[in-house]
Amino acid sequence: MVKPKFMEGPLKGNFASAYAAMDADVDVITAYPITPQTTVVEKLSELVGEEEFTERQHVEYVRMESEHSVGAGLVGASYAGARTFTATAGQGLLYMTEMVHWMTGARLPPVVAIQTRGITGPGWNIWADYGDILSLRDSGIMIQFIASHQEIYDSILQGFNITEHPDVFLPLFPAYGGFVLSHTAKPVKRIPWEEAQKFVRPKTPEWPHVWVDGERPIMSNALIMPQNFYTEFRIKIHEAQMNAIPVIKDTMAEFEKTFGRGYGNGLVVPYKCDDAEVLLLGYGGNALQAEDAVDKAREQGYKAGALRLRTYRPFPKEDLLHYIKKIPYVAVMERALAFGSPTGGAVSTDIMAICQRDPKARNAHIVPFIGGLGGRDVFLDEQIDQIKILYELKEKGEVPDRKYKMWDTFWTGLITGDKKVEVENQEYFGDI
Amino acid sequence: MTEEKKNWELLRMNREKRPKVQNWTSYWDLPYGPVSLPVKGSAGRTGDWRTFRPVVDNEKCIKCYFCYMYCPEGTISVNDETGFVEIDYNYCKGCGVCATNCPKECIDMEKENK
Amino acid sequence: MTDGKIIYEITMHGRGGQGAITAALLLCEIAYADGYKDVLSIPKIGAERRGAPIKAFSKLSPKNAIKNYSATEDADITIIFDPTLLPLPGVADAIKHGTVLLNTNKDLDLNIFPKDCKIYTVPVTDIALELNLLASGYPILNIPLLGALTKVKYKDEQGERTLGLNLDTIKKIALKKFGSKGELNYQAAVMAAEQVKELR
Repeated sequence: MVKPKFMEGPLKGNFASAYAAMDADVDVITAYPITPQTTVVEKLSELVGEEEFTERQHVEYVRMESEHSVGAGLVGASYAGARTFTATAGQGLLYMTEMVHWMTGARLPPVVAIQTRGITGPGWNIWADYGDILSLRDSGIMIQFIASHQEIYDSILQGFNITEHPDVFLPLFPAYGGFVLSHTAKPVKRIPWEEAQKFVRPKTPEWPHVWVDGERPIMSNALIMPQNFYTEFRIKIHEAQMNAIPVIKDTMAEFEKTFGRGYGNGLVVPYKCDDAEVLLLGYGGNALQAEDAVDKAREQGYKAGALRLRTYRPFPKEDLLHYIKKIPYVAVMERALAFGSPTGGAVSTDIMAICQRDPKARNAHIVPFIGGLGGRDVFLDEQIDQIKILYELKEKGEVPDRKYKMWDTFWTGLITGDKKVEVENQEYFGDI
Repeated sequence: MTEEKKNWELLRMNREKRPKVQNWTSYWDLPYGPVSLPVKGSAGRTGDWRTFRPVVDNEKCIKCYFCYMYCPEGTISVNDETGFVEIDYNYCKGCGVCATNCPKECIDMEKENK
Repeated sequence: MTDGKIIYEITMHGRGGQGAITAALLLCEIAYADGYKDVLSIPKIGAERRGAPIKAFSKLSPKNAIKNYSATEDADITIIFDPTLLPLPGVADAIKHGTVLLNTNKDLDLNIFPKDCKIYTVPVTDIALELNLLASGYPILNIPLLGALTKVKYKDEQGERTLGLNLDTIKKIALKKFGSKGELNYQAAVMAAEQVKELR
């Protein structure tokens, strides 16, 4: 046995992705680089040839000519029963979109890590913004928002246990902020190979529903007439999403039991919610930072709690309602803008919808916040201000006004002209 | 294993036992995704659709098998003993692709007398 | 690692090619090996041109988990790789408190820094050139500067103290990361630790 080059220490988020894919024993990796994902596929291309890995596993690394082909390669390999992995971001994900729909329609189980990046359209941006992955909200994929480097590793390792579960068979897209997590480094512990293999789902020679065998031919993607089963097969995808909720919970519980660390119940991660009077709800790195804001606000006498939405699709309705019913003042902080939607945010709209359907949560106050778009830092003070806004709402009964409130949504960090904008600083950082 | 899953397992492993038409009756019968299992005539007796019937003149045929390759429905087969082509009139739709592509023009499209 | 400070925030100002981004990562690795509970390195990615001003940040936490991914606005320790960076906006004028470690072999006008700042200088470019520690013709500054950092003290209400980093750890990490050049890097770090000057 060759001694591994890396087992524990500060590691870039993208490298954590690469190691996790290798430790999950993937068979096929298709790759095409895009900022900020590039270092994932670069690292993987090194790892597939490193002795530590070559002596125990064979990984087919296929360099493609575009993200669309990356998606098509995953679909092809996945039909044949291979465990498949890739990573992409922003425009790359948009280009892959057609094949993402194929993955869900054919019920294939790849895991695709997303380093979220602002969508260019025009207004070129490469920094964190969940607009890219949320544009695939309704495609049937499972979406998870990751908030730390260790969690990237753990989520991808857990990923195949969820996607290849016989009740599920849907692709999983764990998403984390580009540059916020992808290029920063934090301590990560790898799980030794034998222990990881005991946890990861054993491989099967073929899936129960699709296979590639000349003796037993099948045809996927036949034309289905409107009067036949198209509607039903669409509902099947929804059924699989619903089935995934307990699967994600069980996988997280098993992971926590085996390795001693976990992230809530896999769906939501509460922080100091037991005695909280107001709730900061968010996802990704910002939601982890909200835990710091909660601590700071508690020093000032505000009893706040934080709730991190970890799994967005399937939507953890019951788990969210559990907390919202207890704490009916909720700020929903999002790092993506859903243009023209009721609140400007996809997640806050969903949360309002589940509250509407539950008589006990119907009177909860959901306050949408949007900020940090295109990688702008969301500062602790801004999050503490969110807590203050919730307290003003709680005491006066109506949502207070701020200069950065428009159309009943708070636009955190909006440049309102009160402070001098540091133009020099932009030059200082270069002119990308 | 439920009854439905057992059936699917049988279809999966055994080509001979596949049904002619996938006989799903409700949402709850469906497999994971829309996978069809190719069997002969899964769309019914398409021979009924024909207005013109292709007839091969074996005396002019040079056994180039263009018709066999061009037939969009796979209804033309090659007789292993004689080497001539045979058309399965149960399923031939009478599209005429074979007649158009025959280099010797030895396939005639004759009007059906139904 | 028993002092009460929650998180040390360190900002590196360098020029593309001098190794500021690598220094931020190496500092995290050294601190983690030296017993810090959580560390975070943040590179600010711009156009990474050789010679352009670059910023990178390290956050070192002795006790608690780091949850804040935002860039540092008010650094506890500022490391400046090149004295020509000082007049640029966002370098010297962004220092509000804490300690400054500057790479220079010349004297320095201390008035450009706030009154209560501790100032250290170390001529690491000279050291790198003397040892012939070069990468594609440029002197390597990051490991020597981190060597100097082991002697640098931070001051607050609870008194003065170093960050508790060890030269031995630097040696271990340098050998692992840079292979044959690791020994030379370590030598430079030791020399830098000897030559670091406390100006105030």
